Amino acid sequence: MKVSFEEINIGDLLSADVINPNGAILARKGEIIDSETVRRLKLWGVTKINIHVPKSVLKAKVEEKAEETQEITTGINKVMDIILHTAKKIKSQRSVKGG
Amino acid sequence: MTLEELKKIIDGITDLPSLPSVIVKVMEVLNNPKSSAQDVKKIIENDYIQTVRILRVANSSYYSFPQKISTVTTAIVLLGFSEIKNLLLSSSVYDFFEKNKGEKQFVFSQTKFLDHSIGVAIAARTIGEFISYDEPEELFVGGLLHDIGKVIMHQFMEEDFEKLIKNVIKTKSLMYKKEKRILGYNHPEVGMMLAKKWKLADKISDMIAYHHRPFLSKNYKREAAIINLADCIARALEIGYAGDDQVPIVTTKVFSLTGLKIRDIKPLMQETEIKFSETKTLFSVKSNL
Repeated sequence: MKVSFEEINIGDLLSADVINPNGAILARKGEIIDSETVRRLKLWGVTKINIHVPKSVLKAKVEEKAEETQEITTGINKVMDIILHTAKKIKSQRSVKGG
Repeated sequence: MTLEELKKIIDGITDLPSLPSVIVKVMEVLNNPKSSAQDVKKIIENDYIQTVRILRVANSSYYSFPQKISTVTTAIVLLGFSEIKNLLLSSSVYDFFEKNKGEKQFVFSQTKFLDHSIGVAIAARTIGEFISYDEPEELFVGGLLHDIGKVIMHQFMEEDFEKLIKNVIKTKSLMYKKEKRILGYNHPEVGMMLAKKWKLADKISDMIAYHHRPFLSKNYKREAAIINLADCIARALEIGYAGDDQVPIVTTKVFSLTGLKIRDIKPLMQETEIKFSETKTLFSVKSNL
């Protein structure tokens, strides 16, 4: 999966060599990405790198994103509707009781 | 920042709070199948505050035992080993929050932050009761600890944390959505590292690490989803303050992971509201002594 540096998660591994325009290897496949690697790659103007993400994690991420996007764009999320509605009610009762 | 860098920082904090020795000893004893209630009692009785708390909780309406419980041994026998363990853990965490309160000026009220943590803990335990979860007290511990990473960040990565808070307030965003971009790490990651350092159970550590992304947990998706929902409920009810005033969205898919029914939401929230003030008094032993 190709990602920008901001999206790198802890424990991520490089899934492909990163090569500069001269063909020199900047970072090797399988390497754990640390701040030194990031600094070096940024210096070479690299903006995205390939990282290895286990399939299950990838699937979960995609599904989660799709669902969140759908619920935000359509505004259909019964769970949130009820939570916010109930919260409003409870809070108004609270202010009555509390005086 | 990467895992290794963050780990270095965390490892480098020499005064990183450790779990109180009483809970460490109790955990050791409880993990030994040959242990008896007497063994556990011996350790707890040396700690006055813990003794008071255990008796107070054992006599609370939460358990509503018919007669008054006046000894630690009876409490252990009636509540069971794991319940006592979770209770002590909650109690230690509470002290941890309290102890870290006075030393530095928090960018937001620490009392309100503790309230948020207690609110999430109660909501999580209440969810556990609704779905007949085996050990609801474990969910309570997870809720209490879910934002522990924020405490560490405030205490030991102060500059980063202030920068983050300022941005979060200015842009009206959920802290979690911003930290990775601004700092390179986030509070669930920091919290997870502390949980590992404290050698807490994987279930607790996953509740901390994945409370914003339950589907990423390998073995404890349901528990992480429960904390995700509990966090949303506590924020919607404005119980305490977690560093930003956003209510995170619980997706319908995460909700269905918890095992709750839509019709459970209303009574669940009402129960959380009632239990909040009650539970707070149970823990505040020190101020009453």
